[in-house]
Amino acid sequence: MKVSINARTIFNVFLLAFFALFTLMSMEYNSRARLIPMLFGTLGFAMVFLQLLHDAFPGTNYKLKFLKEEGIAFSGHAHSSTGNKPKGVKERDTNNWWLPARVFMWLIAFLIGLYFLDYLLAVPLFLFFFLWLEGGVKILPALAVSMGTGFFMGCLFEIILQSTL
Amino acid sequence: MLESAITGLANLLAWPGPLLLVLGVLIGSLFGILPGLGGPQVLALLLPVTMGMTPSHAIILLIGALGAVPFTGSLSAILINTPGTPQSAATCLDGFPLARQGKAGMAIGASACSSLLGALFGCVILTVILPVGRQVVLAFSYPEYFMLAMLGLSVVAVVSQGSLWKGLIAAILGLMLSSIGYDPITGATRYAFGIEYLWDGIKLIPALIGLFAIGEAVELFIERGAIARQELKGSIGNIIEGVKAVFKNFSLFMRSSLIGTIIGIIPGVGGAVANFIAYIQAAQTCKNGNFGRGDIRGVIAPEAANNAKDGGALVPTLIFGIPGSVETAVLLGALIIHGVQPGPRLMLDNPELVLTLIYALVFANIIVTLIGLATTRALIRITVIPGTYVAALVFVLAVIGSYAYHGIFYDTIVTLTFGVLGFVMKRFGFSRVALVLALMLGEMAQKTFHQTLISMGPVGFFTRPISLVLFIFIVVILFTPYIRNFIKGGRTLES
Repeated sequence: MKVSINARTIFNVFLLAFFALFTLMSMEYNSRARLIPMLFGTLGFAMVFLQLLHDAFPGTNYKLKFLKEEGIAFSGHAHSSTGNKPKGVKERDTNNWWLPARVFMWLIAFLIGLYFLDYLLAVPLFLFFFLWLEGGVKILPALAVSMGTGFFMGCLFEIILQSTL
Repeated sequence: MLESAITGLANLLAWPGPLLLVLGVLIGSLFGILPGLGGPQVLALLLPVTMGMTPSHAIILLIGALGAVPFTGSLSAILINTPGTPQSAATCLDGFPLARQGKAGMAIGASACSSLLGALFGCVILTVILPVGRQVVLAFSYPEYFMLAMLGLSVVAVVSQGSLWKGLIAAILGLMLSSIGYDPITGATRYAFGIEYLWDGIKLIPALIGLFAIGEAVELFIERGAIARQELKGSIGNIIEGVKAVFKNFSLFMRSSLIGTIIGIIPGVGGAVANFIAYIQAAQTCKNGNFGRGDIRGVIAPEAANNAKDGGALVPTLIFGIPGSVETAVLLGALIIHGVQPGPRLMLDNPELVLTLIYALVFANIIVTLIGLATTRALIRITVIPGTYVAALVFVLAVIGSYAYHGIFYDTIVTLTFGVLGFVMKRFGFSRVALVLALMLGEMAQKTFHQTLISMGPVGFFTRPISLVLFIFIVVILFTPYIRNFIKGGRTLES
């Protein structure tokens, strides 16, 4: 049987591992505390397993066609995007993981900056470098947006809310 | 009673009452529109400010802020697919697709009108029900709460776009995640992995911000285009079209408002459930629906319920001193601090104050609606700003918003983790709404399930009339897609 291994399959395996781990861990708790996690963990494991079979082995799709049943609000509708894309909008490439991974790395860097620096410094720094280096925005607009946002945050949290972030 | 009604109105209109009301509305609007901040935070912020005020002035300021939050929370849900508060989550389902189609003006018009009328509906019911509200509140016990939580979860069967199976997996994932932390019945700590932060479980606000705001902003950044994919329709005519849509669907509006008010009356259930249940009934009952792809009725129903529930939530707060939500818990504290003791005697001892509170809620909603409508044309320009800028600003607002929620750094990590999860779930067609619903309702479902078993046994779920009716509703909702398909299959075979 033909096997299809892609990002979707990997996500299914991740979910399978999650449900397995949580179900196994639930056995350590007392009977009342474990009842619902164990019940739903087992159910989730079984459901993801079928989903994994469906996604990884295209040959099973015919037998597992109930997996494609739609919700009440959407059943009977043709799948369509919410609108035509204007110029400048890239077609969504769901196999491209490099760009989203890079964005999430920027966000991790922002969190690290937030942890070690004051937010009034971390916010403009993140915005400036993210817009300039990743977003391809020119230096001056990137600087203006980052400084403007930093100023807004400062006014909001320091002056209006008087919070100690 | 008439004398009290006039005195209550005079209290509101006496200077500086109107100024405090407008001030409250403006501050509440700011909190509503920012992800992570909402009713509890704005009330907590304003409470110390009210210390030197008379009880009626304090109530006017606090209610002004509280009344403004639901509508403004929906603005960010419509414009950037980021619910300002959990109560606005269902508005994303159709509000954002409308913004994508360049119809943000229409969506905001419908949201504003529906919110205002919903709030008025809630206030009328509150005024009428105050003398008899006791019976309504007491009709709900553990099995009814459990069935309500299950009814909320059955929304998954309605809103699962793509595969219902994946929607159910997402809901179970949410239920598992809601098990993290202290078990509400036994006190056992589950799945904390030695991390103290997880003892309290996964906080809803950071998770919600991550799933919707971060996930959506990453997608927007990758596309590089603006939110509005079609020509922006932001004329006054489009906004009025949205307002008219509420009157065209008035019976839907009335049903949704009634749902919101009833759910608001039940302590502890909250607006997040109200707006999803209102959404289900809209999707179930409306003909020729295009729900999830930009159906204006998918904005009207949750918005009406979301605002009507505020009036309902004040019933248990004022009659029993039992807060119906976190917001009303803070409000209750404020009332007690100002020497007003909520309870059955409140309406007898302080009718003017109660009526001032109701009037303040009505006027707060009128003011925030007018502000919203007046600024709609400017607000919808957000949807044509290049995605690179919007995404970067959403990242900052999301992370800082979740940090500001409790000032705990771990919340930002939760936001980012759920951001990754939300992005991946969206790519692979798993319903994020189902996950959020389960996360919201999981604790209530687990707690009331055990409480019912302990106090009434398994039969307790089915022997009480309200619980049984709710159970039948759930079964019908969950099995409708399969039954409909079975019947359709039979017809095809016959033909």
